[in-house]
Amino acid sequence: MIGGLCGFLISLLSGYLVIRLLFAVPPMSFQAWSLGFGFGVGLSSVTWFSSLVSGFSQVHFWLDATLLIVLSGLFFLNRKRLPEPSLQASQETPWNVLRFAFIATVALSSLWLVAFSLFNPHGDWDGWAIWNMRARFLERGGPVWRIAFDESLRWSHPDYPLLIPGGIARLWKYAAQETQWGPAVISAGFLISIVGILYGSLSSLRNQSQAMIAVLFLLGAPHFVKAGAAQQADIPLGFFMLTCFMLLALSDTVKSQGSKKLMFLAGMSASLAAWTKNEGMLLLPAILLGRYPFVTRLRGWKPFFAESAIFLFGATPVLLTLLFFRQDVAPPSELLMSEGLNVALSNFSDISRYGIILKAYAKEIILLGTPIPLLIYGFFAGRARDRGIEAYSALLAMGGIVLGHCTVYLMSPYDLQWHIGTSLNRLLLQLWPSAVFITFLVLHPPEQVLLVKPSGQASP
Amino acid sequence: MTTPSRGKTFLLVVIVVALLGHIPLLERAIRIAPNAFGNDKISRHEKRFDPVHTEVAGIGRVGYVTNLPADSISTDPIAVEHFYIAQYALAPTVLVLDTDTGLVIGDFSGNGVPSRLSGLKVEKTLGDGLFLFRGKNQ
Repeated sequence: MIGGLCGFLISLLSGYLVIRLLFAVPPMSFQAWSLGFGFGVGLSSVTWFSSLVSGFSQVHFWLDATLLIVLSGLFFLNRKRLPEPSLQASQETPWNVLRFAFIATVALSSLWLVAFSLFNPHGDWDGWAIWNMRARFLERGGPVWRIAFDESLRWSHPDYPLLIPGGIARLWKYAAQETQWGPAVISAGFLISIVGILYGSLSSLRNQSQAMIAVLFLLGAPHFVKAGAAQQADIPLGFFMLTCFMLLALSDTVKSQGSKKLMFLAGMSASLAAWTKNEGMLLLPAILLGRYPFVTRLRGWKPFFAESAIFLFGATPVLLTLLFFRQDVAPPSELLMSEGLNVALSNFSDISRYGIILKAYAKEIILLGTPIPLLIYGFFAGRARDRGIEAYSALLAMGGIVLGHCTVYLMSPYDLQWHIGTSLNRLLLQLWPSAVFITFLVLHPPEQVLLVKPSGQASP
Repeated sequence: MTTPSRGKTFLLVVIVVALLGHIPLLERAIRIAPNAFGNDKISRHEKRFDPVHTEVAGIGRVGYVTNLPADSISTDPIAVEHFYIAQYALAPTVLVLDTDTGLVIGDFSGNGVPSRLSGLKVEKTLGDGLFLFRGKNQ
């Protein structure tokens, strides 16, 4: 147990130091630790996988410890040159009723998270049948760990990348037992970190009231909170998507030397999304395509290529690990190997499939709970006219990701109803935190809209 | 443009909508609470396989048979779930829906062995519907 805690703290501290070295975030803020948690789990799963394939998994602790010492050294040497927070949370005090609702929602969600984790310690179906099972194979397999990707296990998606199973197996190795709190803490930690990042970033970029209302909408979606205890990979993927969009928005807002570091971190976050789940691979091209029209038009070609190079540079280490995993370890993806191109193209030209997909999206969006109320809120709050690249490029990138999902459904060799029925709700959960973040980037803060007197003077 | 009182009413509606989302969570918590603390479905099924661990330790792959024929398992949700839980419990040994592996695990809902498995020799009865078979030609 102590060993597991030690492994958890090493990854948390390593992630925190990476964030503090590159991002001007208030040192002891919830946002800094939330980012540290996600990057810590992600990067430590990469180092753990590297030690596994190189046959050094028994001395993984020393690799972790060395990394932590190097990061601490860099932090100590650069402590006077660390980036200063360029954006601070606004000092406006939110209304009491909003603060009360915010605290009540966060407390209730925490209660459900703990309760569901205790009641359902192995997680939901995908949690135990895919992610935790792969972690067991990796941890128990010893020198024959590659059996985790055996052809007979195709039903468990052995082509899925290893951020979650690697992170869990690493904690179990530290704990010297398969403690059930390992996957539960990772799963719940990502959900809590999403709240921390959404609240922290919108407080800086807009104001606290805007951030609180965003969290109310985020946690008002019951499936989202439930998924936090389900031990699936959709919430961690949602974390890395949100982090990527948030870092890009900050990079566009601060417009200083620090923006390059944020761009680098955003690239790292996009690559960790790809290391979490196959759908995460859409994020990186969607970001580049989403930024292309805005950055080239407003800043020119050269800045676009420069920022894209930094973004891709940040993504490179994890992408190389993923490439190795795809080439050397995982079997080919089911979607790519089934049926072939002819079936995919004939499905693509079948008009009836478009209708089925549109209907399914409408149904699942309604079932998610708060997206429709959010749209209504957005209609009344209105779009702020001074929003720039940070909001619209993110909106376009999100559209690109949704288009990517629809294309996969259109070309899917599986029974379409079954494919949609078993995946669409989870795709929407992955996008939900980013959708809330981008919506509240675009909208007027509530004080400007809800409490404006007819004369046009904002009330105090 | 709205007046302050209308604005506050609108904000209250937003808060109520957000809090309403927690009702389904309360329902779920009440539904699954009786199975809490190790009494959930996965933990219960997994415990059945405790005696199997030592039997398959170090073996790469073993067969898996159940009341249904192998080609019918994938169409029966309960049989699929039992097969997946067995695999979850026994990793890193890979379970295959086949009897040509030498060692075969039988996971039955009753205590009897279906007659179609007459080609297999019972090596051990592990209780709770679990058997260990060995192919007669092994």
